[in-house]
Amino acid sequence: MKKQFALSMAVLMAATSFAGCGASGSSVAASSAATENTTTEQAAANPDMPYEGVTLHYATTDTAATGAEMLDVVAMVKEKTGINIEFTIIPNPKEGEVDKKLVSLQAGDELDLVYGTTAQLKTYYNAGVLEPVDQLAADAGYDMAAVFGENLPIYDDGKTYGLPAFNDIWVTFYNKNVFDAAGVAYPTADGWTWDKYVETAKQLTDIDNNVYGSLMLDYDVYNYMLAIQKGATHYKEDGTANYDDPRFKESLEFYYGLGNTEKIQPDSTTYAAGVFPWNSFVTTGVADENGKYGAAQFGMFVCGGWVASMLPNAEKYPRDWECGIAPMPYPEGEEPSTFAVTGCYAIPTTSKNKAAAFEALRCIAENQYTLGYGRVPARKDLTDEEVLKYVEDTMVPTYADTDKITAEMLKDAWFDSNRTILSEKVVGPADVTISQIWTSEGPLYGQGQQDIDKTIENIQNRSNEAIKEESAS
Amino acid sequence: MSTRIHAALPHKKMSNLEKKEALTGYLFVTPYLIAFVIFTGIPFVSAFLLSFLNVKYITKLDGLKFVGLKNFVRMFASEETMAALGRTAIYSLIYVPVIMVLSFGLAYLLNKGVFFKKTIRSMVFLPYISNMVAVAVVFQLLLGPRGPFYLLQKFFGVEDPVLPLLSLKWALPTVVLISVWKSIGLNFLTYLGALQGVPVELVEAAQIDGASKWQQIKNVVLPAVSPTTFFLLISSIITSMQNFTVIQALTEGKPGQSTVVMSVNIVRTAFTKYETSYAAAQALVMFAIVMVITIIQWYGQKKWVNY
Repeated sequence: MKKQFALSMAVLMAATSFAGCGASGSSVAASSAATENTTTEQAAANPDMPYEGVTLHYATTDTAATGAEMLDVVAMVKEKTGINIEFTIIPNPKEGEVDKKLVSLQAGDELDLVYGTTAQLKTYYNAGVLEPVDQLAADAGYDMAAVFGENLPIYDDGKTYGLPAFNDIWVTFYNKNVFDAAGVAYPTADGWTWDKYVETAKQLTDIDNNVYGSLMLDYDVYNYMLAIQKGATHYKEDGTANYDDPRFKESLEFYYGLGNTEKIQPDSTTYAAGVFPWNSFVTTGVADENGKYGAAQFGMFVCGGWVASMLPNAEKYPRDWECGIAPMPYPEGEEPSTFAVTGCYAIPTTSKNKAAAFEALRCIAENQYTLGYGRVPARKDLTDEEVLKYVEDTMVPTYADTDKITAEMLKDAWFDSNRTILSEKVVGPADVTISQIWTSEGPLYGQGQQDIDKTIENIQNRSNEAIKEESAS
Repeated sequence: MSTRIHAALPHKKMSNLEKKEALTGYLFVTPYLIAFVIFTGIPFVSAFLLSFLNVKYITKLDGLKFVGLKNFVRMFASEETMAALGRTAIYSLIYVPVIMVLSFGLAYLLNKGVFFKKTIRSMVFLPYISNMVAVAVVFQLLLGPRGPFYLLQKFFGVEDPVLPLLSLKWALPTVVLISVWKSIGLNFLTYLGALQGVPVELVEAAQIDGASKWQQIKNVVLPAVSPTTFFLLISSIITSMQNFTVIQALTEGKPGQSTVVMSVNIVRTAFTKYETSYAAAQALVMFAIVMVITIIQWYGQKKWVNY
């Protein structure tokens, strides 16, 4: 009896483990079948919408998928092309974490659309998971270069691997309340240099009352921004790292000096300890009856234009002050400049609906900026009048309720053709590793754990080793 | 025992009952074997093969080449990887002795008559079943610039208070100690079970012979629990090298590279640099190191483990 019981238990265990695998497998199969049904390209009745009824799978984060902008993008694509977009939720990696989207694509998961900056998509291109869109554009009779010019993500093989939808241009956001309380004039585009920025921030800072004149995050670009704005490049002509250029040392000293010496913003140690989250600029809350705030206030915040998308969201970021926008500061004696990163959409090689995906891609790239989320279009075919109309008719109303940002402010910050646009990211051999080197070595100097010369020496040597390793592999 | 009998009588035919028994045994181990082959066996063989190839992205296999020991040579020539290996050694050298001594000490104390024995035992075991990310958040707050550790240093007049998780010098030892605190529950519980199996008459005999407490522990208790110590020593060494989660959650390898150990380096090589073969080679070297240490201990146990 005992033996029979043992035998039946063993059979049950083995069977359930197989059943477990089987159940999971069939569920995948069912889901695949469902996918096949929904994504099969259908002959559309409407000749203007040849891909009407096709469902595409867009890989994005939960935050983006539930955000108003992405929901509007989906509705827009449906309205203009008849194509349905379904989200496949894949979390964004933090620094040093696995890029699950890329892993998913390498594993062969069927996705039709992915988003990434030009630099991020370069990694995807290196991995061979992106479809070149040149032939798709030719088949559709679409002149990509005429619409997007140099913003197109063209990589080493000379092919185009997606379409750009918007440029994220760095600006200075400022809290008018902090300026008013200190009796300081708002910044303007004319002569908005770093010297002026520091001087203004000093006037605004009142640490006893938890008010800082400035806020910056811990991105790689803050470490080298001054050097790049002064004309330094990441690589020498022979392809080795250029960080022994004295401008990089000056840049590090400048950035960390803002917190350590000038004391106009939280120092690197305090920021690294997580005292101030990345969205501290807009999470100030509202003042109590005594005019006091529960969280720190920041006079100015130099960051990418993406910050603007948080401004109209009064529900998530309630505040009782208005935000202004000025251009990014530039070094004294240099030409005005700013940083930018281009946001692109691309088609993975695993897509089963590449023609339909291109149609959706084109629709998003051409029109996402019109949805009213403060995006700066990556299109090069827009006339000055069209840009002005966009600024006045779409961008200004976006911030009308919360911040009353004027068309002039927006034009100065984002549409100044005389301002040099520099790459926010390191782009070149071992760029991802070099970016990590900056964010690991820079703070050591900022936190007083390593002197400036040793820091620069480490950045230079480690970058060269990374470049050498990449070329050897 | 059954295996020995079969080995001694190779020609004896199995009875139906024995066949049934064997079948039952195979069926019981089948689920484990399937999972082992899929999740450990195949990946291990793949890693072994990959380490001799030049694979970067697994989707780009067009230029696939056999490169011999190039990935291993590259690893030992890389200053950063060797530094990570060194940090792994430091991590293990702190982790293993501390967890072994503390878990034995705690188990010995809590095996005696102590007030709130059960509550204290539960408290020691609780971190083991806690979520690592939650633990990391709590320690980041406790050891941060607004946490009690910092404020306490200020209170006692320390001019330049240490923020352990942000200090080049202290980050690694701090991470190790947090890891010990998190993992000690299992070692503690295992020791507690072993201590309860130590024959009371041996301890009493030692007491009658006038042995001090320390002599009782050294000459009676420790030899009696030596098989458990041997098991925990090996498992603790292995655990000390599986430290990716604790480091990623607490410091992400920072400040600088002070907490970049081999596990972090391997993951970064594989998933941020996408150098699959190079990462596989590093993983194999780690496997070989653990294997050698285990073999040495296995042969060395004859000198100090009493079964």
